[in-house]
Amino acid sequence: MKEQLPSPDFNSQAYERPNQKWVCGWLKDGKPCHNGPDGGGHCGASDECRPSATTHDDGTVTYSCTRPKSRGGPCDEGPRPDGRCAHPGLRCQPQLSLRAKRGILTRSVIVATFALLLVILYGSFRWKFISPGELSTPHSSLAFQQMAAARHPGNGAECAACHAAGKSGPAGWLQSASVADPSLFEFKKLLDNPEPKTTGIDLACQQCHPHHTFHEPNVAWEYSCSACHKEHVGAPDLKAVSSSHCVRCHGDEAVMQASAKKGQALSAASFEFQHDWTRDSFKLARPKEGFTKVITEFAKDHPEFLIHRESNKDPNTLRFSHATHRADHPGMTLVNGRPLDCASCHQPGADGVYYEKITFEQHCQSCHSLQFDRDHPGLTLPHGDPAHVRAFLGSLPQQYADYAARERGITAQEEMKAFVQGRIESLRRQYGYGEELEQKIFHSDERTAPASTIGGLGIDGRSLFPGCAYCHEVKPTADLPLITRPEMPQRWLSRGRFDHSKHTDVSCHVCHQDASSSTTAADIMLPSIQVCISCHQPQGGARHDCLECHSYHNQPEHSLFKALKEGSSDIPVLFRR
Amino acid sequence: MRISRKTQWAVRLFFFVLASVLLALWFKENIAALPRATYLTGWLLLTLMVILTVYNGRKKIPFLPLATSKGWLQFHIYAGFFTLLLFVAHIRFRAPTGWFEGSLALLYALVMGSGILGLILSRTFPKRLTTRGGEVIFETIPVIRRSFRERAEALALQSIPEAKASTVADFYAQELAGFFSGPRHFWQHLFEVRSPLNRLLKKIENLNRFLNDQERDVMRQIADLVRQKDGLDYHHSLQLTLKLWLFAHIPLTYSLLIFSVVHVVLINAFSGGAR
Amino acid sequence: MIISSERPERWDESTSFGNMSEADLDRLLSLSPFKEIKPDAFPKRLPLRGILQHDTRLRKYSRGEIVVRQGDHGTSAFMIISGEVRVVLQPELPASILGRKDTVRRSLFRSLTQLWSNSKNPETRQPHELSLGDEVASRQADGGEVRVVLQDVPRVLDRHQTAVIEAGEFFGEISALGRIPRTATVFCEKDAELLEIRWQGLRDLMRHDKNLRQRIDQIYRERALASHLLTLPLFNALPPEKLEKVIASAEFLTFGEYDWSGDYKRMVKSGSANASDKEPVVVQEGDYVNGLVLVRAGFARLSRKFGRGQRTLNYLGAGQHYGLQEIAHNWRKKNSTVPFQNTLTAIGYSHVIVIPTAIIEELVLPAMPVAQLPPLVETTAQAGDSTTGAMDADMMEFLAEHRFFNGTATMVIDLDQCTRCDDCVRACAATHNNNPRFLRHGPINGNIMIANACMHCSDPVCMIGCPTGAIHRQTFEGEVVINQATCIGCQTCANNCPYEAIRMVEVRDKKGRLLVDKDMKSILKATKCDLCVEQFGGPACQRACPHDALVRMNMGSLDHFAQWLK
Repeated sequence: MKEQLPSPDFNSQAYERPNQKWVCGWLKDGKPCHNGPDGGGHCGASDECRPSATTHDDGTVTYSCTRPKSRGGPCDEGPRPDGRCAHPGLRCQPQLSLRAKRGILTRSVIVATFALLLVILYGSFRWKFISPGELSTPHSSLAFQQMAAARHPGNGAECAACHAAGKSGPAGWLQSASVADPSLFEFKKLLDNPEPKTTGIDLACQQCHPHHTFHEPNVAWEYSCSACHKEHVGAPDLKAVSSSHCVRCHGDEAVMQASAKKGQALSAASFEFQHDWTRDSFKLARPKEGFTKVITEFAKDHPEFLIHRESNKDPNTLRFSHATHRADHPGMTLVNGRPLDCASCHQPGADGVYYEKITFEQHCQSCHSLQFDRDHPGLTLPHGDPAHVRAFLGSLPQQYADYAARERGITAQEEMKAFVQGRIESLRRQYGYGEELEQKIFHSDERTAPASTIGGLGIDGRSLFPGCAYCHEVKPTADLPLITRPEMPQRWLSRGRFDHSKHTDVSCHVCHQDASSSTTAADIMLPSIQVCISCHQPQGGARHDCLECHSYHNQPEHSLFKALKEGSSDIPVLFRR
Repeated sequence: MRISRKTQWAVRLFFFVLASVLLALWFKENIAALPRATYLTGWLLLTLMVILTVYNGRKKIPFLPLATSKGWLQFHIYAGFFTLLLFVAHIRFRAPTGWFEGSLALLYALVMGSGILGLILSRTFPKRLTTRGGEVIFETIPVIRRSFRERAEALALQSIPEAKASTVADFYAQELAGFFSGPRHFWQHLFEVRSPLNRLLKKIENLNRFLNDQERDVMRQIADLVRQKDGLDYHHSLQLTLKLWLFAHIPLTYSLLIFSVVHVVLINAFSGGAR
Repeated sequence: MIISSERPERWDESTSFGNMSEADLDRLLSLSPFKEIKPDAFPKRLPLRGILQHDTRLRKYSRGEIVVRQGDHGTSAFMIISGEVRVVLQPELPASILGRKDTVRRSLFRSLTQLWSNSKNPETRQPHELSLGDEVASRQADGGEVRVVLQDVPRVLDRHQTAVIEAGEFFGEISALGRIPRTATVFCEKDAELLEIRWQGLRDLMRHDKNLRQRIDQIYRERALASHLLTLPLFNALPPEKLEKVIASAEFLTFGEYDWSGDYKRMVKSGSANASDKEPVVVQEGDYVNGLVLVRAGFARLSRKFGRGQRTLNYLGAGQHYGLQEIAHNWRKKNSTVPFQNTLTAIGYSHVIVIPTAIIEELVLPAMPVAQLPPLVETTAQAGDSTTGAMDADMMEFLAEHRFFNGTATMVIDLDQCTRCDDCVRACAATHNNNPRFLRHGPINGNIMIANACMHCSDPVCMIGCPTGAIHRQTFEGEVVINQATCIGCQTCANNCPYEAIRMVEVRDKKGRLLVDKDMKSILKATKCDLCVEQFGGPACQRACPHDALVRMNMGSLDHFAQWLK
């Protein structure tokens, strides 16, 4: 049907009046009356005309139709003899126009919306209804609810725990809204970007989490809890804080300067709190200006790790060369049937975060035995204390006797005596005896030890004992020599978290690049920040936000959770420093 | 060069997209980082929604010189789409949680959705109506429908004495009386399905085999009326739909505004100045 | 003009104008100027006596009655048989006396009051809206004609300068022939007997009587032509002595029939409205360029041969002209002259002034800056290369068929954009006491509907014959409005309007009850669009259209419409 249909004919003599609120009830039937209903919806049906009367000379009266031309002119039938119109109007029940119905619907929906809101907001469901989302795990815990219920008896306790408005109904909300800061129409305040000071809602946080400034003591800005922590967004998100909050201060020159100034006035002791004492950490002095360099992004302007910046040395006095302990070192043997590698000595702790300490007994002894007498494997010096060594040497005949009984099965008195005598003699010939022997054992190193012992191997492929000073720093004194205890910290980066278990995808050498060439224990073989940045940057794929390594708050909140779990209704102030 | 009236929309759309992108960039640079950016987008959203709603009021006072309705509608459409951007920025690109905010977002989606539907209807239906022809004022449709029915009935009855058979009248009573008695095939017309008319015409064509010349002439006139009545139904269907979408858009708008005001109160009462 | 050799159709029983007995005719023929007219000069089928019998009628006016009103349109001239009448010179009579209403634009607050003060019922009238005022009264003359009577003639004479027109003199002939508004109001100071001559009669009398023709032409030149020419940019820079020369050389021609509104209605009813080949030709394509054609009143169609028919290029209305391009071309290129490039035909009727080519070449063209001269004629140009080329021939024909180019504020609806929301109708009702003043329906061509709303015609046929002057223009060539107080519901205007823009309504009182006259007949009033003269910001319908579908457009210039159609 390509062609347009013609417009159908209709009575165009009259105006269409879509503005009228009511339409004739007969319209549905296709036959609306000419008058139509009035503005109030009353049927306006009337006779087609009011016939006009003419009195004739003889006294008779005749009637004639007065229907106007616009409605067809006088009708054929004419009025009835009694003067009434032959076309009486048929009354109807006027109908609302479509648009008027829309108006009624609109008003009904408005009323219904108000009614619905009133019913819900005054009902017991209201707290659940107005909650903008699920609470975080701790705040939705049973313990928290019990605590809240104890503090704020009645409906809405959970809300009242944090929200002042949660203590009242809708009228109270209006009141609360009007006194809010920024208040309802303070648009200018919304445009400001002020110091993120503690706000009203933070007071509620601090009832359980006091002293929220457990960041550096020299913070210049008091940071609002809610600035970082978004509640009502479900379980894990309360702690997910964006780096932008850190950068808000750390990226701001002025704020950092203010912090540095504030830090100078504080005693060094007040900064002491922050170490995680559960680990053996490498102790570094706090830089004089504190940590106030401007940082906007890890990959961009995060300073080099303090440990590298200060060109620190490992204070370990052990004379140890990683280079010598490589599997490809000349003369290197298999250990327990396997070539020597990092894991031969460095083993992760149970959680995999840090590595276990190196101990002589576990990691050295199997190769470096303390067998001072070449001919008698099994007879070894005690390790750990020079006094014990001296005592051991002082009781050498007895030690040999014990050895004879233990290893050789000699029990006869004479035979035992002859054996001991023989060994002592042999010692005396080779090394000397008494004072001389002790001096040699304590102080011999690769230069002074008998040539045969250096690099020499005993049975089982063990290296022979060249003397304590071979590995240790031994300082002679008037009495016993002082052997410095090797310090082996587990944690080197004391300000940032590092988790080895998350880095198992790469080999040790990727980060600890110098390890295989290092010849002295003084080398700090920690990677530089550039090594981290190579992955921890937007292009690197690894996370690079502040919280990946740092935390704002310095102490874990274990004790609060414990208290909650135990159901203590009166939450103690747990975090006093 | 003067731009033709019918392509002005493309120019307007271009500038709208350009302005939106610039505004979004500006927003990202200057506003998004503000601690209370969400409050700002919220107030802006509410203000815009109130202005958009005022259009309904403007239509009720045509005698005041309050700019043209055309200008208002253009603003309504573009500002309406702009609220979508604002809305997404306001909810920070995540689905709202919670009953109240969920309802609020749902109401917004319904108002926006009905608005977009209305826009599509307003831009497509007029052309379809014009193409079909049979232009008619919506309010006169029942009157015209009655006149079609009366004419068709008269034709059907007229054929009885002429042909001395009631074939046409019987056919009318069986197949066409229902068709002429009210609006028919609402959905088919809405989706431009022509099969109901074709079916009726096919039946008439089939019947023609059994009619004499006079009856065929009557049937031809009836078929013509069937076509016209179908066109009338088409207008009824489309014009009614053009009016009905507002039955969702307008009432829900007021619901949305009421919810929004309550939302403002709740946020101010409960946020305690949180950012 | 009249081709038939039979007596004119207009002399048929039903359409005859006359009311005179044979005795009256005899008396008339014995009076000056008719006794001086030679009956032999008249053709047999159109005798002088016949003209007087069928095209004139005697009318008796009594003291205070208004004969013609300034600003009204009329199709007849008057001659005074006995008595005298007075013509108001200055100051003009106030609107209230002329049966009109001075429309005052509402203040902002009064506009706003419509929000609550609009009646809830349709077509209610306040008593003050229907009262006539005490300066005039209406009176029913014999034959049922209603006349407006001045209540205080001495006061009018006192306050206004008037002139006496005495027996034997004509008045109203310019307006009748040129179809322009009456230039002055004429009323009876004493009882008078007037001869009303309808324009066809006057035209035929002039044609066959040289004296009368010269006399009326002279009057026309003197009173109307100079002021008209001065309104045209082409002549308004000419010094007075040259203008006088132009005026002296001008020829007046009238083509077609005046009462084309009736013709048009008949045409539409008979189903074939395409009558362009029946239109009287003013200028023929290919003819020698004999002069510049100025359209003074009515409309003309400019067309060019295309294929086997004529393609319409444009329409010319009052004030527009044709032929200047050809004359200027020939003046500049003396060795390659061109004939008329297009055909000009009268649509319905047109009254044109022809200024001979020689006069244009001598006086007008030399005075024109070269830059303003029309471009040279390119004879290779195809029909359709005009500015309105964007508009298809069908649309052109549609506009011509329905005479829509008459409108200065035609309601054009683009149905491709109109959602049929009726916001326009509601806005109209809200600005007119809750009554729509148009019907959102009308002739359709493609996607364009011309709604049944008053177009405020440049040639308002509705204003012809209003007995009380209720229908009038707001200002000179302004909006056509109807004064509800003086409208007597005679339906003349509604029947005259070819566009169905005027509707009769039965008025009601405040409570919605129908008002009736003493014969129990409903009181009818003519109503139509008034282009929101009382409102701020122009037509509410256009401002209320959300979809840019409805405009009120001056169709006199097709360029505007063609641009809008794009």
